[in-house]
Amino acid sequence: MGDLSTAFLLVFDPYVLLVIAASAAFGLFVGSIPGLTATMATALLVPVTFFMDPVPAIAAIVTATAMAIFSGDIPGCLLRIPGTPASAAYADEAFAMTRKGQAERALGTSLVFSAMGGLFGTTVLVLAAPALAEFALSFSSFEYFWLVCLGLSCAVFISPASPMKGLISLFIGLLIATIGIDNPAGQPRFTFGDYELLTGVPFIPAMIGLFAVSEVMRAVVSRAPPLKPGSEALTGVLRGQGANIRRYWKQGLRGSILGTAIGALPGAGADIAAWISYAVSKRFSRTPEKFGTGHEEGLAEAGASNNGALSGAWIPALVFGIPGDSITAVVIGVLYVKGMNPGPTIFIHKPELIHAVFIVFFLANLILLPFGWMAIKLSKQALRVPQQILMPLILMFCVVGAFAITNSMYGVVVALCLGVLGFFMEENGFPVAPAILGLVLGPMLEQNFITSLIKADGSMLAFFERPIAGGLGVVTIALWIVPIVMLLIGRRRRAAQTV
Amino acid sequence: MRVGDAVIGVLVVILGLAVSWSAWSLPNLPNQSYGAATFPVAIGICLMGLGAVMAITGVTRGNGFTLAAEGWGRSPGSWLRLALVVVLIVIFVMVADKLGFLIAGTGLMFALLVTFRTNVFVALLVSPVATYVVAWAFGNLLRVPLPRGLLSSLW
Repeated sequence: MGDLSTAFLLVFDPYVLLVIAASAAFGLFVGSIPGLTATMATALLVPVTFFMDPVPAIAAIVTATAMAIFSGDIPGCLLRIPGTPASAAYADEAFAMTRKGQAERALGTSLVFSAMGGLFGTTVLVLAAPALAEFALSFSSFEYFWLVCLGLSCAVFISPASPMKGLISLFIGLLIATIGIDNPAGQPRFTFGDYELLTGVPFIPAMIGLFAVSEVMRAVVSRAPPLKPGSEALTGVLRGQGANIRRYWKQGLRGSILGTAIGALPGAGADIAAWISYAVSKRFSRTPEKFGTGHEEGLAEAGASNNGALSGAWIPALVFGIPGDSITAVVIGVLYVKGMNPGPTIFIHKPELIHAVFIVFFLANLILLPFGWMAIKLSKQALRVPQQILMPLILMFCVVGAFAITNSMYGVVVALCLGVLGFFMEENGFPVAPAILGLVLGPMLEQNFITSLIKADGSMLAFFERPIAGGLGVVTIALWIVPIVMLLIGRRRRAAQTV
Repeated sequence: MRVGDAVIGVLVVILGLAVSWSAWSLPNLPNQSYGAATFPVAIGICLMGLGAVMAITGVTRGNGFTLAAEGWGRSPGSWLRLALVVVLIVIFVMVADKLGFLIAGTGLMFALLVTFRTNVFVALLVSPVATYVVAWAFGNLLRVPLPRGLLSSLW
């Protein structure tokens, strides 16, 4: 109890509370700007936290990331430009609601279920961290291979385009991910002698290009009336959310559980959690036909999932020092700098600091509601700027955001090239989201695929020999076969009826 | 501009072929049958298969070797504005290091605003202010080392 009271004193210090408030505003700002990610918010905070004590430093990162993941939903909802990759899974859905005049409802759902997912993830982090981390650690390359396949399959199935076009988009993403020297044999691949391509195609500038630059290009050629958030104020963001929680509590809970579990698996973060949860939501929905037309069920589940994943990612990071995602990869560095060497011993040597981190997690997810509400209110004012001024501004942010990731014009070139690619893909009905997921998960898929092949000496049966790997493999294959079988059965029935 | 499915299918087959061909000679890991070539060759083969299916279904459905300019594609002005956005960013990439972000960014912002059909006077007012705000937010607040160029002594 002594450690807990010390932890409370550490957190409820006026300076720490001020840091939490400032980093909340910072996280909301960064997350709501298309192209700037929660990872980027963390990376940008590191030099600032260098001058802080451990508790305010960790508090700043935890708060900023929780806010950034939520606020990424705001431009996704109002302009169909996801602020962070974790919002990309349901940006189309949220935007469809905005088109129906339900922006408040979409953002309110996203806010409430984000807080729910975050609080659930934190509770799991506090109660079950060691056990869950141990479970994740028992995964070998076979399980990871199937897990990535499952994530990629979901990306293809949830896209509204034809599976064929979704698959081609996915393979284009996987192909782009092979560029560079970071491959099993350490050989330059598809670099054409360019030294910057040796480092590969950076993911964030690529996302900026595919999602944001291509959107600006669509705006510049569009002859339709400019797309603007409605002129009316965003009132009643939280109105009706009580009923929403009662209606979608199962989805919220399922998203929170799935998000936390996926977050706890090293390498799989909030992005993949949101994709899988959205697909799961559609698959188990009583009204799957409403998905893609502006339906909040998927928003609730995926919104809860990506915030749950944030907390989940801290489980292996704190207990074993293994990053759950790119954010916790940065955080582990901060923990070392602050003398909080992550690992099982931290629970013995610095229990008050661990308790303080847990309290900060709860606090960050609780203040998400008022701060998120304020961000929604302010965002509409910001997004009401005329489109002919807003779009050049967004492009400017994209250019600078892409530059900031690589500290060179290489990032801008990548964003531009993929912007052009994304523009022509969407013009011809190819969804860009599977390409993004292919780009993100490509290296992980290749690494686990090659490792597993070597371990199994080329035998594909070995991919099913371990129980969890076998289960994941069967689920993935079923995901592909079941729709085809259903399609064939449907065709046969229709043919029988016409005869 | 909509390109027929068969055309895209053929392009995807060519892409798959090029990827497989160029990756084929990449070395394996020592004493292993797998390495740098395995994954790209697998991707290339999948792309060839997907492209072939798309080309065949495109032809059978009558959505074959077509190239249609629909909607904005019929307007030369739209094509011009699209090309301008690309050209402006390329020019920015080429001159930003020498001129510095404040000058190159203001130029880019002004040209983009005009491309988006903003009133020239509004563009003249907005572009330096917006560029300065972006430079301040990223350069000072977020500590991104933006190129300073000609105005390095001033900020």
